[in-house]
Amino acid sequence: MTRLAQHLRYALRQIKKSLAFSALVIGTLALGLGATAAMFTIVDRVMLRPLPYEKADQLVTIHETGRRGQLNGSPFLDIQQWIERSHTLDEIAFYSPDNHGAFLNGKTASIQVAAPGISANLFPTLGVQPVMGRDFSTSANRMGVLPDDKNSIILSDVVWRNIYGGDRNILGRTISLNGEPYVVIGVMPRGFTFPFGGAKPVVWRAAVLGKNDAVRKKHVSPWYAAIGRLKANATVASAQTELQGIQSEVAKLYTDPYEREDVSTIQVQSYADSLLGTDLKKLLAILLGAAALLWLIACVNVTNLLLARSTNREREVALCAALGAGRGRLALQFFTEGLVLSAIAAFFGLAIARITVTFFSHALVTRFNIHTDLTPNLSVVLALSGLTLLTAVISSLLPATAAARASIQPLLNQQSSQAGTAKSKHRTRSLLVVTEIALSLTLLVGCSLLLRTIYQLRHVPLGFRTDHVIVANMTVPSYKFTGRDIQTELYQPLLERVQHLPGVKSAALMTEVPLGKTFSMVFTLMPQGNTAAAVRQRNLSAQFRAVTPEMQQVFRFRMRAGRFFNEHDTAASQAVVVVNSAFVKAFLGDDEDPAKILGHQMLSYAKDRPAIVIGVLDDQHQVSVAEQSQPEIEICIPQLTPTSSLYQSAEGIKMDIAVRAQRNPATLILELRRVMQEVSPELAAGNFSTMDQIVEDSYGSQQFAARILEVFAGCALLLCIAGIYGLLSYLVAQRTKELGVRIALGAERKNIMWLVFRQAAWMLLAGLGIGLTLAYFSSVLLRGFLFGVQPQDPWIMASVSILLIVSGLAACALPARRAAKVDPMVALRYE
Amino acid sequence: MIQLKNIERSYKTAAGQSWVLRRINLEIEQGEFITIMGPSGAGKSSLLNVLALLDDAWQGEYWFREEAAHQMKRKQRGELAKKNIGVVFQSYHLLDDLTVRENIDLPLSYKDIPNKQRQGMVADALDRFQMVAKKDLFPSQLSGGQQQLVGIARAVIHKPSLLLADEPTGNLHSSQAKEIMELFLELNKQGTTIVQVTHSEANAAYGSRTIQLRDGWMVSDTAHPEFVSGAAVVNQ
Ligand SMILES: Nc1ncnc2c1ncn2[C@@H]1O[C@H](COP(=O)(O)OP(=O)(O)OP(=O)(O)O)[C@@H](O)[C@H]1O
Ligand SMILES: [Mg+2]
Repeated sequence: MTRLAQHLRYALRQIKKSLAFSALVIGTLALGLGATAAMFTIVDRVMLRPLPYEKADQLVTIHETGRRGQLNGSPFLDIQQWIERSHTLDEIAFYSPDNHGAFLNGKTASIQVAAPGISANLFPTLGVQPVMGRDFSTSANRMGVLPDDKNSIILSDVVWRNIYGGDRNILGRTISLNGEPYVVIGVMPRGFTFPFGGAKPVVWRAAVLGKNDAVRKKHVSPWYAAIGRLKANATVASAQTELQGIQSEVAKLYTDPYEREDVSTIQVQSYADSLLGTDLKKLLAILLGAAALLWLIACVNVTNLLLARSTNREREVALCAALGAGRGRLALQFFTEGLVLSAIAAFFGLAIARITVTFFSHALVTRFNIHTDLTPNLSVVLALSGLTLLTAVISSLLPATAAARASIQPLLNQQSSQAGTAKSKHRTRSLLVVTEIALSLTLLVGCSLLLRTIYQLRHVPLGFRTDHVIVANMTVPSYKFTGRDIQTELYQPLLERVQHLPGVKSAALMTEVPLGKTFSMVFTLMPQGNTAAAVRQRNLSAQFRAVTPEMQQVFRFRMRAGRFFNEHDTAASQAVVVVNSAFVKAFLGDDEDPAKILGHQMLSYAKDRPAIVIGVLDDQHQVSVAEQSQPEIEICIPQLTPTSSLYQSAEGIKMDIAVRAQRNPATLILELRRVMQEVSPELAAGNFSTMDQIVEDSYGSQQFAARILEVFAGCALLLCIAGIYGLLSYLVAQRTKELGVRIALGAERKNIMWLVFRQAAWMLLAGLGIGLTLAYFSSVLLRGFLFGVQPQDPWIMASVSILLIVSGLAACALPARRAAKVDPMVALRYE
Repeated sequence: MIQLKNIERSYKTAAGQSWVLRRINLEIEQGEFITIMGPSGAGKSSLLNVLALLDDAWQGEYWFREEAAHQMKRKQRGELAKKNIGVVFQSYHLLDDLTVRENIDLPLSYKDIPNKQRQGMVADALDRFQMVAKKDLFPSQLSGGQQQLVGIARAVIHKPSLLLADEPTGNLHSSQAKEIMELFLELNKQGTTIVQVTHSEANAAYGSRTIQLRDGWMVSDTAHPEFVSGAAVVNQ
């Protein structure tokens, strides 16, 4: 104990003694640790975000797997086997995930919802129950739903509020889902949704078991996704073990040998884990890897620094050893020093992590819907401590072994030069720098690829202007306007007042701005017959938008044919719609002249009010920058009346207001909010953003990853420069005598500088060689995230190499100058 | 060959200006073998550094043949030294990482000499100093005497007309020292002007002229027995 204190005291004294050196070590480590901790925090939050279920950590998904990998779902009979035999699971519920969505029909238009069919025990398994009405009634086998509930439906709070205006008399009402009548029997609590993370509003149907559920037969028996709740004392692993045992029995029940092979094994996974897309997981893994790389670079750098110092302290060490200090003790001394340095660095690293995470919080919210507080939590702090210890071990390993191995005699004997050990140390240090360069290059290449991707995305012509446009997302309080025309009572006054705000050039309303992520409606056609055109048109699924005529002035897009809506399109005039070129292609076929669609009847505003197509928009990237334009159809808001069948869905759920203004967004947003509040108080809660920001946000993961890698690669480059500079300065200092001899023998300034540059060039070339190889293979990991650039883009490889070479040579300029200034008289004086 | 007029050298120290060389006037003729002697700290090495043109910070006139070295820039002095002067150091100052051959080659590598000719010159030198068998060894694998032989070979490889040696035998046994001195004599006979610093009377005996330094003053010169410097008068 006292010995430890003694080590600590000694370490602190050493740190104080060489403050600049210690600051460099701490700074380097803090950078590496900070980046790693930031990534840990982010990963922690994304992967372990809280789910809106009771004791969500007990929820697991169960998938049968086998020859063809993981199956989407299992037949009821298998699920029944599991629940009957399992002792680790309290309950297993199931649902048929509704991947394609369903349409909650109004009279002519439909709203897309998710409508999974669920087992009667699903809500109890999740630990929730309806706030209004009742749950599905359980059949005898305790999972299926009684056939009486075949046409019952339970609404989510979102659907109840936004589509049915929070109608308290909704229970017992019949609604139409995909053309079928359903009776509303319940409404779920606010904030509850299942499956988690879907973008669409949800309603739940009952999974009523039928005769096909009594067999295990592919394409015959319906399949269900299973979700279970672990018993309090069970773990995912124990459930996995148990269910695997059960499953091998279950598999035997399959009569078809091929089908049996598909279900031979089982996979139990925590529900939270199963929610992360493989893409996102991969991205996070890559970023975590990048952080680890940066940390490694930092460690290498620190090792190098400590190694340099240990060389300078060789005599001191030798003296200690001569005075009887054991080698283990000496090594421990170095280790303690590394530990103290790392501990201080960890403190600063935590601060850096904090700042980094704040910097990325916007991306976290838009990308992952994470709204929780992002302070590094306990697990992050623990992970960081672990890393710190590891850092200490790694970065003191080399110096410690060097110190322990140093033979004592020649060191005390001042006369003899120890060319041998010095040389091998230079080699170790050069190798470390080479490693550093190689790792940095890898990071830089990854970062450049993503930056290039962002650049390419930014230079995709969107088809509309995004500058000077401000967007507010509104959730429409349509329940307040029942029996009144929301168009004349809310929208017209709102638009008028906004248009008269100072600096505003034009303002428009639309259900969703291009590239928005708030609300989407899909328009489909149901042509009869089996002609090629009918088949094509049945496949057509178009983005549906209700807009005001001013949209063209706000976004300044062009028409391919015909005209856009204008002020003459009113409730009294001929109903009109506008489509885009992609729509024409999907509707008429690939090679048709877009103008041909003009005058075509398409969709009706009301029963006796068919609309005709009056214009074709030039294609825009209205859904995603990286993807082709999608078919789209737009209706004109001023033409809608409360009697219109589209009225509720087009005007009563979500509305965006887009404003083109030649002024500072911040102050304009304040005024906008005030105006909106005055028109209807609920609107003030809207979300405000600039159109440019919406475009940026739509780039998605790449943007986020590029930002992070930018920081990482920047740090790596800095560390690299520091590493090269440090090593060369050290070498120049070590070689002062040699340089003096050379100058005395006729070497000129340029010869001496070349000597230093050559050393740097050698390390740079070796580092580049290894780094390019590493980058060549590792950049493939990024493939799925790239747009408009190949993972092994030669230009990127070349420019990153040049960047490294230039910075590397710049880093050795100072040591080289110092070398050239060596005074031979002084150099030769000192032995 | 060389004419020093009123050479002065001082260092700035904490105590003020400290004088190392005082009003040195010295004429060195072509083909002389001069020995500089004097007690420790007298300024022998300092004088040699001036002669070698390694030092930049002295005052006075330094004429090398007809050229005024005192008016030259550092680069020009370097050129002049590179062409005409070879230096042998007390502690050899061989480069540890280079072989015998490479060490000898070093001065040539800083001159514009065709590779072919360079190899020839190195081969000649190895031959002449009987180091052929050792050409691929590293300095640490040689005895002190052998190391100094390499040092001398390196100093004369480019056929300098002036050879400067600061205690070339300081770290050697007397038998090895004798060998080195014989070699100097030989070089001198072949026409190389030599200036050596030594503490040993035996070594001094090989030279043709001896100069005594004390506290930076030149106090005697065997070529000019009548010469007595002002300082000597003051001191005595
Ligand atoms: N860089 C320096 N700074 C200050 N004083 C110096 C410096 N170099 C030499 N001196 C001083 O100059 C004086 C002469 O030194 P020099 O090395 O020429 O003596 P020396 O005659 O060669 O002695 P030795 O026989 O011990 O080699 C000494 O007093 C020394 O302290
Ligand atoms: Mg001396």
